[in-house]
Amino acid sequence: MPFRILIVDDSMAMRKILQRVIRQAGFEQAEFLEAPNGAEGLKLFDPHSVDLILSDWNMPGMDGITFVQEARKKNRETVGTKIVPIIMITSEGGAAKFKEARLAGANNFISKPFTPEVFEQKIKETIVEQGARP
Amino acid sequence: MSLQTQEVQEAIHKATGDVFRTMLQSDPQLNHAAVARDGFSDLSAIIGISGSISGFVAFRCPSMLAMDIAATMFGIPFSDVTSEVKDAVGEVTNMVAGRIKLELDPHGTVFSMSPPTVVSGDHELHSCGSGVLIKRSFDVKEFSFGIEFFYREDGKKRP
Repeated sequence: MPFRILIVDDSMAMRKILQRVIRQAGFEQAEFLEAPNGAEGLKLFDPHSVDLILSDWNMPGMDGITFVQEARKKNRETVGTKIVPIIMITSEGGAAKFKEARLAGANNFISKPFTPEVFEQKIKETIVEQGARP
Repeated sequence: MSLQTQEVQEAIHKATGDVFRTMLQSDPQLNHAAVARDGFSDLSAIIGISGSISGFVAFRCPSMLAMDIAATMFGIPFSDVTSEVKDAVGEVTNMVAGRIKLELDPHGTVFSMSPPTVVSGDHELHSCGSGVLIKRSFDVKEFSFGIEFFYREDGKKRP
């Protein structure tokens, strides 16, 4: 089974950048699911088959924080699944945002703009911490 | 104490450089004309801000640069200002505005950001009401682009 990554971001450009950077980070065989907002992301999120979630913060409809809370709830309520790591990505960084993301259920946080090296490090430390298969 | 023009200028320079270097693999140089030249851009991405200051951050560029930015982001060439090109420029503006916000945070200036709005074709930006408008112009590759930051101080700064 390929490593499957759900990307939730209202910017199509950012969804494409994330896919490129993830491949550069060594996940050449990764499969991607894309959603333009939290509500669509939640529909696509199957805890049995998604290995990692990357979510934007500011999105129309369901925002990133609400999406993370709902995805965590769905993850917990789905019997027989591991905890799927979630990384939030936002241009509005800072300690307060990081804390809010953690409280919502995110495992890590990446500020935009990011270098491929930082992205690779954050993904690897997150999936190792959660025991997800790289 | 009021937000100083120099603090904003430095935040714009730092933010713009960071975003272009990390996301677009290019190094913009401040154009020492000091202000963006009017009429050089036919595409603007605008983000409203609201908080201890309110106003907007705008990224203004020619279509050719917008298509070049999108080509770098998507990894494919563009020959027209498509929705993908506008989306790419909106995302760059979002990152620049977010970085400016981070840079101004230590000065106690806090604000929320709206989603980007992109305007194309012959247009001009007009700021209604009183406030401070700071324009900075940059050169990258064979293009010029401008960052405009309009603000007025509405609320209390964070202590």
